[in-house]
Amino acid sequence: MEATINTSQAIAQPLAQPAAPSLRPIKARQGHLISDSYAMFKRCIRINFRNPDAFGMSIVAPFLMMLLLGYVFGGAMAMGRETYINFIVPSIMLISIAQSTIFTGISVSKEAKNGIIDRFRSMPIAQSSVLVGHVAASMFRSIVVMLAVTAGAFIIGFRPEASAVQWLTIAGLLLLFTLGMTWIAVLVGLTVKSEEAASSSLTMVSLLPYLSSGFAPVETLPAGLRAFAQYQPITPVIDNARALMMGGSISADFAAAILWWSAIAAIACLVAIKTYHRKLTK
Amino acid sequence: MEAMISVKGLEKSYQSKKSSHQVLKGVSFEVAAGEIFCLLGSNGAGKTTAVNILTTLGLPSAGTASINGFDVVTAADQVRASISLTGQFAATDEMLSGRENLQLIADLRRRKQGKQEVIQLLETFRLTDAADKPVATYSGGMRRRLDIAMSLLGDSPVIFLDEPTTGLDPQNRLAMWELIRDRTAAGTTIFLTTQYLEEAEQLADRIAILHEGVIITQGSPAQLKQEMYCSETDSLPSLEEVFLTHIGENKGVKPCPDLLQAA
Repeated sequence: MEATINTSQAIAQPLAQPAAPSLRPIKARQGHLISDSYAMFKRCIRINFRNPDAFGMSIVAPFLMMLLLGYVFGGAMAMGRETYINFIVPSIMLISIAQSTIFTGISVSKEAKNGIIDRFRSMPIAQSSVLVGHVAASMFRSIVVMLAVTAGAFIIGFRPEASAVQWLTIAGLLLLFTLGMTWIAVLVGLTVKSEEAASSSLTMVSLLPYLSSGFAPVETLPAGLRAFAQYQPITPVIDNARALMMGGSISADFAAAILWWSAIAAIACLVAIKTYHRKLTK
Repeated sequence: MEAMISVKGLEKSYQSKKSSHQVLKGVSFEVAAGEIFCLLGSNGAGKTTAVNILTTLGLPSAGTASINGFDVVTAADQVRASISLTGQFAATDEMLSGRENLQLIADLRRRKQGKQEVIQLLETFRLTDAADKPVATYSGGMRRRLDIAMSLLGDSPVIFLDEPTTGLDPQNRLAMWELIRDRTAAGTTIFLTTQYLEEAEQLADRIAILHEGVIITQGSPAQLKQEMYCSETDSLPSLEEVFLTHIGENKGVKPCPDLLQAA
């Protein structure tokens, strides 16, 4: 039998004295973006790590792919297996990050149809904190993914030569990439009709690292693809991350990587917040 | 004195490519502070549409509405600071526990004694035993109770309850009524929608009957009955008879001629 609500005990009455029935003054200051976002971040992280299937796959799948590429194709590459593993680690990292952002898109899409979003929208909070919480959780996942891929790569022979400063630069660059990819995922999650649609369209986006300098030097690609690979925003991220990992310095297109992904993040963020208000207003 | 909720000529229509559908066709009413106001109507009458506009989730097509003196369109932030909503559909996080759901609301509302309030609400709603289990494992009744507990957290001057007892068993429904009455004792204004006549009669200080987007009558339960009382009937009608007569579906009882003119 279902338990009955306990009425013998009066519910917590926060008011010091019963207010006279009249209009009530309210606090002048409403929601605060940082603290509200932090509450939402904690919520998203809990939901993420209690649903380990999806998140785990974004680590396991690229790891298996790294094994496959390293051992099956690595030997056939002119550069040799060891060099090839060093060559593909940044691309594997980008793919893993891209896949872990799909999770954000699916969550947002699911939530947009759930009653909880109505509760948040009717509360005195910074409204964008709902989305910012998701993005912050994605950044956190991204850090976990980077550490996991690096550790996995070590096992199969990845031998980076980067200094601490170079590692920090790589991490910063990849986090900026995460930021852009996550806001795209949020935007897609808000736009498409179903979770399935969010998942499949974002999977398409996460394939972009393949069409870059990620797995083969761009010079070896056929003409049309080469042009795309050379100028798409993922290539400068991979090239610079790779150079830094091997102890090299950033190249001329480092600025291009920063500009690309700052612009993508900023635009996707603004459009997503606008879409959130427009789409959910009944 | 200014009303806690004031609605004037509220209209809402939904436009699609092919047609336009008007859900609210000029709704007006006022709710005094500390009152339990009940919007009564059948499915599709427009109750939830009205709640959506009043809780800033939707925008009106025409007319105005204010809560606690703030306009729902131009001062949405202040309105949100004045209200708390339990929507028709469960607004809980499945993967989180009952306690975590409540704590999230406490954090977002910046309750200083949040932890204590959460413990007390769990106790009041008999959810203490299941407090740390994920909501996904809860029964329908437990989810509904958690949902309502989340809305009662804090000291919002106005609480909106959209069909709060739908899906509750009889003893929990009675207990819920008790809780709602307790709240108004502290000066909270309650805006309730229901399709249960008994609920309206038991709880409401005032009832407005919404039918096909129009308020066809409003008043205290006693007034509504009195209004229908005429020499032809020898006893006061039940609220059910009042309701069915007003929406024109009472085949058994002959309505008062005065009443029909008024409508």
